[in-house]
This record gives sequence, C-alpha cells and structure tokens, in this order.
Amino acid sequence: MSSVSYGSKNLVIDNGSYEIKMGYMGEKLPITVPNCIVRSKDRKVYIGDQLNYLSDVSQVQIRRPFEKGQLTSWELEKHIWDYSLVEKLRVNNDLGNFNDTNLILTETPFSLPQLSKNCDQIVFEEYNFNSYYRTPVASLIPWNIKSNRLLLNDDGPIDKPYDDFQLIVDSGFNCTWVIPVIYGVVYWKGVKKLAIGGRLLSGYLRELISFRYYDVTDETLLVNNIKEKSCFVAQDYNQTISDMINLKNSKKNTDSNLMVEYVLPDFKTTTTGYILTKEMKKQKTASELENLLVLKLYDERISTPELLIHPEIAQLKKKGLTSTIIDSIQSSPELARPLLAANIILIGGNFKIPGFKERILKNLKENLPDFYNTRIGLDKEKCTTYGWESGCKLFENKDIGFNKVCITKEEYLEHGVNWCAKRFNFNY
Amino acid sequence: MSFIEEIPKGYKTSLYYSSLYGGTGAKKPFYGDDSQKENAKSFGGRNSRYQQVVNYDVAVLEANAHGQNNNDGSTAEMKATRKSNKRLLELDRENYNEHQLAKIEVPKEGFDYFGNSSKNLNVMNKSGRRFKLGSTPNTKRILSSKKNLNNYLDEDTSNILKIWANLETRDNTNQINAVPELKTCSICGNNSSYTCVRCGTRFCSIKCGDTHNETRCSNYAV
Repeated sequence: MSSVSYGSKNLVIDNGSYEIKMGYMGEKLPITVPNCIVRSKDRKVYIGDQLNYLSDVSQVQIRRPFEKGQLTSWELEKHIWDYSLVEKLRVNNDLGNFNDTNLILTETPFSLPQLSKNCDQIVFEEYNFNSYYRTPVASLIPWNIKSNRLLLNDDGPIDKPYDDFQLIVDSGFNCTWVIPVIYGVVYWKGVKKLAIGGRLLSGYLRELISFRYYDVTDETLLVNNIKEKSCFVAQDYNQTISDMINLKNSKKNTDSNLMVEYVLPDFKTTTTGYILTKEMKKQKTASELENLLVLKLYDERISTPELLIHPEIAQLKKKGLTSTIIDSIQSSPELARPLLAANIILIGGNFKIPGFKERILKNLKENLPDFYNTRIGLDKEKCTTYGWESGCKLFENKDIGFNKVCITKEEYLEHGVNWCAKRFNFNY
Repeated sequence: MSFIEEIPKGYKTSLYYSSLYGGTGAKKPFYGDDSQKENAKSFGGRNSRYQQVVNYDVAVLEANAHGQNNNDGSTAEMKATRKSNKRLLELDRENYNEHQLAKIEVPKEGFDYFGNSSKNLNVMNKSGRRFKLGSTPNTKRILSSKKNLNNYLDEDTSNILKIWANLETRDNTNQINAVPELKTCSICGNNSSYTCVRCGTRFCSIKCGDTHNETRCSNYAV
C-alpha cells in the first residue's frame, strides 16, 4: 500500500435522505443542501436549497432521490450533487475530475447491494475520485472521541484515536437506527430499526392539525416548520397532557408555557410563519393582533415527538425507541452491554426537539439493570452535522483510519466493482 | 383416502377446514372438545374409533405459503398488523396526495442555478451547461434508468429482504416488556379509559366517542 498516492483534498459527504451535509476537512461546518427537487404552485421546478428563497412555498411538491431510505434515483441525485458542488461548495475543478480528492460517503445501513454498486460506479467512473470509503454514518462517530467524551461528561484520559464501545441512535428523516459500534466496526447483529422518522412525525402533525383546525394536507413545508418550532418532549407525558387538555377546555386566555400561538403565513409579512411570543404581543396593537391568523397548539406539541417513544398513540402497532434501544443492547455480546449503555450518542435531526435526551435517559434507567451506568450524549446544535464532523476526524487519523479502509481508483480499476462490495458491504 | 370437510360455523373462528386421515368412508370430524367425542362416536356408527383430525387455518396457510408469517399465526394479530401497516403508509408520506400526482421531472435543459451573489429568483442566470448522461457505459445505464425501489427489489438476488424483515423489534424477541403502552384518546389526545367496541380505537369521553363514530370508525354503520 505504500506506493499508493492519496489525494491532497479530503471531502466528506453525509448523504442523508433529508439533507446533504458536504464539506472539505478543515472547515468548521459543512454546507447543508436539502436533498430534493421541488415543484412550486406555478409548476416550476427548483433544486436543493433554492426552495429557501421561494416567495411562495404553499403547496410545493417534493421529490427526493431516496425511497424508504434507499438511494434509488441517481439521475436525480447527480443533479443535486452537481448543484451543491458548484453552487454551494464552489469546487474549482471540473466535475468529472476529482483526481486529487479523497471521499468519505455515508449510506444507510443494509443498503440494497445493487444500489450500493451503482453508488460505487458513479463515484469512480463519473466523478473520478482518488480514493473512497463508503460506510453507515454511525461507524464514523467513535472517531469523534473528544466531542463524545465531552457530551458524556467523561473526563478520563483520551489515549486512543477512537472509543471502543459506542451505541449510536440515528433518528433521521426516514427512520431511526440503533447501531452498536464495537472496536470501530458496526456490530451488524445488534443493529435495530424503528420505522419512524421525521417524515412520519410531520405526517402525524399534519393529520392532527387538519383534523382539528385548518386543512394543511398540502402544506408540507409549513407543517415541518410548525413541528420544528413548537414541539417538545414531555418528561411526564400523562401529567402534561391532562394539564394541556384542561387548559384547552377552560377557554381562558391565559399565558401559559403549555400553549403556543403560531402565526400562519400570509405571504406578505412572513412566508414560513412564526411563534407569537409575549414580547411580540406587547409590541403589536389590538387591531394588528386581530388580523393575524393564529393557530393555537396544545397537546399536539408533545404528542408528535412522543410518537417516537410510544407509536401506539397513532394506532401503530410497533415498539418504541426505548424498547428498540434495549433490544439492540440485548442483541450485543454480553460483556459489551454495560459499555454500550454507558456510551450512547444521539444524532439526527429529530433530536433537535428539546427534551429528548432527558426523557430517553429516564426511560432507559427504568428498564436497564441497576449496575449499568447509563449515559447519553447529545449535541442539540450539531446533531445533524455530527456525522460529518466525525468523518473529518477519520481523515485526521489518516494512517490508522482512512488509508486502511479506503479503496483507491487503481484498486477499483484492477479489481472491479465487486471488490467494493466485498470491502464495504455488511457481512451478516 | 382423505376427506376435507368444512367445519360448521360457531366453533372456532380461526379454523375453517378440517381434514380427516386414515379412515375409509365418511366420518364425522372431531372438534377437539371432549364432549364432542361422544357425538362423533355415535354418529359414525360403522367405525367409532377416535380419528386423527388436523385443523387448518386458511389464513395461516396462505401466510406460510407467501413467507410472511411473522406473527404467532393468529388471524386477529395479522389483521392488526395489516391495519397498522396501512396506517403507517397513510402517515409516512411527504406529499399528501402522492398517488394522484404526476412525478416531478427534471427539466430537459437542466436546472437554473442562481447567480453566485444573488439570492433573488428574478436575476438568476442560466448555467449553460447541459447535463451529461454518464461518461462510461455503466454510469450511462445508471443515470438513464428510471427504476424505482420495487423494480430493484424484484431484481434482487440477495437475502436482503429477509434481513430487513427482522430488523424491527417485535413483542416476542429478547424484549423486556416493561415499557407500558400509553392509553390516549384518538380524537383529543387526552388519557382515555374506553375503547370503541367496533374497531378497538381509544376515546376518552362521550363527546370524543361520538366524533369518532361520525368520522373515523371503520366499522360503523348507521
């Protein structure tokens, strides 16, 4: 391997089904581009983050290259990659010529082998990357050891490049994965899936609002905004929900933390809508307040994220996140179980909703054995870009990290595409 | 020679057919209940010997044949699973009217990129670059294919579907069943103590029960 020359630039692409996180090693934050094309009401088609600049986002329709978490449509994905590379990342070279660039690309666990193969071929034959490593995002997380220790409040000495035992909970747009990573390698037998992701949470909120207040069935982006801005996780669900219902039925105009007023967009002053805070109320005159179209949200705020922990409230016959995590720990080797429980890291966009960490910790402590020192780490600000950051750490430890696992273009040309499958795909 | 005879309704709802083995001539099927044994003996007359009877559950047979029997085999449970999957499909989609819509296509001339400095839609400039459909035979094939996930799954030869089927946590795996289920009203979200007698959905009060009957109850007939 010593004769192999690696490129000078290092690119990490966390190719999520909701948004792409892309950036060179050394940068502080990656660029984020929604992984979709949208069609607006006037039937024009826009790509990626152009939708943020649209003046009217009502009734937009969205198409994504992903189906159920699987990257099926490369004809679409290549457009979005090209757009992100040229317009957002401002790469200087020709798009078909990444000869001096090494790439880490993430994929969903248990990808369909044919789709992974397509992915390898595009990377090497279309973009001509120098070397390449394809992996589930969870396997990168242990390399971010300093941040992990900080999140877990662990001040022990850091004398190794990565942590040996880590349980990653990745709650994304499509679904939620629970992935044990042991000695830097995914322990495939312990990988568990919960088919509830951000899309379903939005779908449930859409149904609740449409059933109770206004018809928002076509307003995908609006519902998503409402979810992001108003939801939180209740620590004591039963108590909070009865408080909320009582408040709702009392019909008093009291200011309470339990209720929020969401101003719906009028497409003149606001296109996305916002939450009406007390300070804003004071500033506005009575007539201004009357003209606002306001949506009062009570129990929807907590029942939407609660779906992840208790799917039965939407009549779904599934086990919740707590059970899935416990199941994953139980499916792992017995000696590793306490270690996994003590090193849980939460990543993915759903955990931006406040209160998840405390609630999951509480649930897990109730259900795991007493002598487990259960710890959970979550960086709410960075939970979507955490995987990208960890990818950069794998590049930083090049000699023991990236160079050992990657496939170079020469190797690809010599061994063919099946070599990639042999090296990167899961072995069950 | 063996006979298959229909069991009269009213014994066990999940059992439909019963087959008789090892006898000659028609025999009264044995229902597995001791009190029935006497009847069976007296009915047959010619041969009052105890007959071995196998009861088949049609739904389970069908499920086994298609390799989908993930449950304990009871039809009620399968029904509930099917209902839950239907509900999941209903909620888990981004564009609500997805099935009615034509697919959004990539414009033929490629996308307009916005100007680098401008964030205004009106002053975007055309990129001028035509989208190339692959530079090698392999990538040409990938980039021009319009296959969806189902097409790929049809072609798949690995055992990935079996793996996918076992990824989700179920009741009967190595599970601690300590997380209690929440009982919430399907209409208002409050804690609820009643279930609909027709469809099993929860509601909390007479008011919510009425709303449920009017709007959502799947088995409700006026």
